[in-house]
Amino acid sequence: MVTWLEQMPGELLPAIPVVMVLLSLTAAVAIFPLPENSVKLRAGINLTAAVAKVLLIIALVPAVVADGARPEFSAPFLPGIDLVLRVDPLALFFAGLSSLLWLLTTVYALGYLRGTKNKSRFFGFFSLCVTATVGISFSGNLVTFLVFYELLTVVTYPLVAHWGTPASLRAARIYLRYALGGGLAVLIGVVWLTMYVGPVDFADGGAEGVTELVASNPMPALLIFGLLVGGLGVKAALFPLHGWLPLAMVAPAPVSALLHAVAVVKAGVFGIVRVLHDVFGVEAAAELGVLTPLLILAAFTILYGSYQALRQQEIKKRLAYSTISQVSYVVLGVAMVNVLATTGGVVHLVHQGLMKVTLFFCAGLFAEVIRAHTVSQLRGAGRRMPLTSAAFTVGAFGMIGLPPTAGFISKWQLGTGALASEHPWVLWVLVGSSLLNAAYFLPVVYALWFVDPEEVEPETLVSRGSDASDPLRVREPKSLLIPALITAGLTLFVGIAASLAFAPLQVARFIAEGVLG
Amino acid sequence: MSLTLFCLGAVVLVPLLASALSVLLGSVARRVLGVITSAAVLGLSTPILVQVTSGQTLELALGGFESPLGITLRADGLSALFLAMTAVVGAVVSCYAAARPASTGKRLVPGTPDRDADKQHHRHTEPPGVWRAGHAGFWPLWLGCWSGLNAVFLSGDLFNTYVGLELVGLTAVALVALGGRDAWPAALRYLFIAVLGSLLFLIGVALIYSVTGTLDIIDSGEIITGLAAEDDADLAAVVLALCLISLGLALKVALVPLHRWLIPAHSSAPSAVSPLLSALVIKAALFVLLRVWLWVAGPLPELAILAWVLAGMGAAAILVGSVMALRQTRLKPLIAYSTVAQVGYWFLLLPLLLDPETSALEGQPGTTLDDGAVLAGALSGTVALALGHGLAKASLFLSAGHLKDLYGTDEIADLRGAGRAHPMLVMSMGLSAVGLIGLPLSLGFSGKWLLATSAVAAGHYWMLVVLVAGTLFSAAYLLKAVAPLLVMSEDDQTELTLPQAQTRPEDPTLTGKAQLAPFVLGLLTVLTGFLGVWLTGVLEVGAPW
Amino acid sequence: MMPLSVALGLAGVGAIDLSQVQWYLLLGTAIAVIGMVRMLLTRDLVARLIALNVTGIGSLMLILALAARTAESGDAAGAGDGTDPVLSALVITGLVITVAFTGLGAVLIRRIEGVQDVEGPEDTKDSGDAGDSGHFNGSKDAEAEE
Repeated sequence: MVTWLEQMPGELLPAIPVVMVLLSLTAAVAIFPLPENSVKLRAGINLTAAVAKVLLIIALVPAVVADGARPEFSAPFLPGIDLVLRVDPLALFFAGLSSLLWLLTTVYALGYLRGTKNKSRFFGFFSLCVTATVGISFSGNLVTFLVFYELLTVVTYPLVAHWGTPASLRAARIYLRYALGGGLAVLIGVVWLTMYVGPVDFADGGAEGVTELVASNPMPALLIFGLLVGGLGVKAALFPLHGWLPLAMVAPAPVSALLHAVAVVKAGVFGIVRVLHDVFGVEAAAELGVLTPLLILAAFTILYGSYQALRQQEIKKRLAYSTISQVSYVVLGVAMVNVLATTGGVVHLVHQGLMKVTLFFCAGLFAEVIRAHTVSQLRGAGRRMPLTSAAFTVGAFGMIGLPPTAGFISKWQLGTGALASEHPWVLWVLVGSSLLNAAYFLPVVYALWFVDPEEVEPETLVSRGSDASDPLRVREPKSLLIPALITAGLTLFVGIAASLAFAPLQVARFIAEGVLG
Repeated sequence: MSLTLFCLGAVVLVPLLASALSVLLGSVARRVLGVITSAAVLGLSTPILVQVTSGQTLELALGGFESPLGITLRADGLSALFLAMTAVVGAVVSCYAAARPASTGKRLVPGTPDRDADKQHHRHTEPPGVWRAGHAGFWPLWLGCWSGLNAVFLSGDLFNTYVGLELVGLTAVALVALGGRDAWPAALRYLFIAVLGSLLFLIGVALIYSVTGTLDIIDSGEIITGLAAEDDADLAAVVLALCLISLGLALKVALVPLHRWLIPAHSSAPSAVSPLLSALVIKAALFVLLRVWLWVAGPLPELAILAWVLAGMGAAAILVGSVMALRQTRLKPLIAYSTVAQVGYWFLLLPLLLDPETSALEGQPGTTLDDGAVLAGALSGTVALALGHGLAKASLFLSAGHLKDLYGTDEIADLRGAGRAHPMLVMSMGLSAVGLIGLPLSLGFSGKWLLATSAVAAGHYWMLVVLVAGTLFSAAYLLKAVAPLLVMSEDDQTELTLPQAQTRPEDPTLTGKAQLAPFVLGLLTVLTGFLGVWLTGVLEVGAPW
Repeated sequence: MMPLSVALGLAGVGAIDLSQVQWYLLLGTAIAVIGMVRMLLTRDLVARLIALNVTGIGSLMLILALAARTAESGDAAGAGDGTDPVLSALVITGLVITVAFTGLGAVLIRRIEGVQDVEGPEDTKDSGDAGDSGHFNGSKDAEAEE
């Protein structure tokens, strides 16, 4: 695969980002008209597209990271503005995360939705959602980013509303209200910035003309920054714009996993990183004096999310607030402006994705197999579903930041970065947050492993696939279990093998060094 | 070249002849003729669009008569774009109407009242006869209307514009009346408005003629520009003419507060007619308005007050239309109010026309705008919004009408869960909602982008506020229309039962390929989002600046 | 004294000369406005249709007066033979179209009122759909007046 790509003629390279976007788009178009009962064909299309995408990403990594190639494709869109798809290391990083997790989530969703209705619709929008995410990651300028960002808003609405219950419709409506409002703020910011500096092409150290704008017109520049980050902060669930996220929990578990780990929340954070690094540039942003407020906001969101998570009894809600908290680590790291902290923030994009998707997969498993929705219903589940519980434990330890998980690497980087930065107090935020994480995850782990299932009331022992030899032991559906185990394994792997070439940490460091010189 | 000129004449005459011919035919033959004609018009419009896109304006003196009394057809960028949109929407809706003759109206046939069919309307006794779905009168009327639309878009002088507008108005009123007796009062009310608007327009045209001595659009524009350049120019007559023309056309496009007629007319019209009225018929008046303001009057400073009044009415339309749409409980009136709101966008550009300076951003680093850009951007934005509205609204009205025919009601509360059985209709509605809200990718987004950038460049920041408010409102009311269709169950356990379909369930036209028509239009709404650059380029052909 | 009286005389001739056209202009406007007001205020459908025709006649009269003025001022084609042919053509077309619309309107009114006549007696007893339909028209008219 790799050699094939290296031998490929140079003019084919720019086509790859388009092919990747079109791949999942084609999958979506092919899936929508499929009749409800053609399960195999649908699964085939989904998995083929997902696998092809992962392979393309793997093929791109050496070319982009090592050889410094920047495949780019552009098409005219609006007068003076092109739709630009460009692959740079950060784009590849995010696209790699979404492609990999799309594959796993697809496998999971195929099992999860077995026997339910409207599967063609679900998988169609699922593919569109990934189309939008890949588009967001490859966007080469602000307008392209905006197009895919809004597309993401639209196509996630039917996913959140999938069950069609009044509660899910309400959650979807509120989600749409938040997301459209945020998108509109971004739109105004983009229009305004475009009027000043023309098409805002992403570039290391800030887009062309933006530095001059910051120097000559700090006030509009500040407002534009506020509009962009405020609008993106809605999807990134920055306090106080996080209200939609806990509500969106009514969606099917794979959707929650996708929203939290890959698509929506990450798109918002990725956008903030882009705006900070590639639109304004960290120097101009520092000149504007926006970094410290952003840092404080992120720190507050981290603590607030953790505190709220502590108060939730429902597993999915607890995970949702945990996401609000964890995603802000990325913003925190980026806002500290040094290589260590930025590496920690950027690598957390992937690490948090892996860990959170594991937790959501497991939460879905618990809910489906033993109908456990709250922490207390999980008592003794460790004996009944040992593999799922093990995967959940890995994810939870990762969230707390215990070695050797991926979470430890992120927090270590962020901590050392904080000490090296002008804001050493951030370390205390990290410590406090880790304690809170421990406070809300350890009771779950305790309930899983250290409560005897015999003590649990018999009516909670409903299950889907009881084992004959051991009535307490239940067999989890394979297509749900395997993805959870893979992501849990990856959580450990990227933690242990963080120093390998092309490991997330190394790529993140490469990105951070590229941005900060 | 001569072939293209032939197309120019034929695109007006072919539907007119087909309309006359169809009167002589039976109802099945009319359908066939209708589809053939729409394919022909689509085919004839293509060379015109291609030729204009290549940068050439086309002109044809029909029948060899020269102006002032001859008929001059002229195609520039603006004409070609509206012509193309009309051809596409017209063809798709024609196919829908041919596939579902029941969607073309209701007719009273003599016979004993069939209990079932009678219940569909009124329980009590009526004039002897039964109401049956389907009205073959649709075809001559619609083809005549199409001919009128093309005549308006291609007309080179104001006189033929007037005749075209009248043909459109007359047939449109009759098309509304096809909706059965619930639609008659609405049709009559529409008739009064249409005639009043036309009379005001006619007086305005006469005034312009009395000043310039010509009815030719380009010639009169040049003469007025020449007059304005003189020092002691008395332009009172021109301003009065513009006031009357704008008022008359505002009546026909249903600009707030002159919008009341539109709601009953568009919502009580038959399923195949509402999309035509909303997507095409009001566009004719909009087209003439743009022609008169940009080509005939030009940027006269004397028109500032009128421009601001109209833009203010436009902003009010966005507000009033949206709020009223939010308050509707039925699908078709909601969509009709959404038209009222969308009409507002098309009037916002008028103050920009008089003040096309890039004043606000002059001297800023990196600004690459020149003065022509504001005018070009504002016009392209408005045209993109109008064309995008045409596609999206046609799709939305087709879907809504289809649902109404399926379930015998368009009460949103009764249609809860209808999306389960008809995913394609809901998908079409979703796609057109994307276009109407102006999310990317869609022509609506391109339009809003162009309008917003021009507004910022010219320092008209108020327009941003209006656009933002309009976007949020439209999202709210469209969500209100579409979301209930997605409901699967009333609570987490029970499944939802839908209202009993009033039409016979075995009616194959309701579940068959006809559903593709709104879907195609919805898809086009989104796909045309890539055409922003192309559209701006086409509008440069024959532009007045 | 001489120049003043010449000026007065010219003005007088001019005033008489123009006032004839102006008079028609005013008359046309007045008829159109009266028709319009009546059209918007009345509830009776036939009266509205007639008022619409009155408005039309007023407008066309206005245009004819304009035609006469244009011909006098002589800056248009066909000047000198009293009226301007282009505007006359406009008026004739307008007349034809107004007649067509009036015909359509009359048909519609006949149908609407035919329905009302049938429903009329029942309205008192049965306030079902018929009542709604009857009020439908009324409310439409009321709305138009606003």
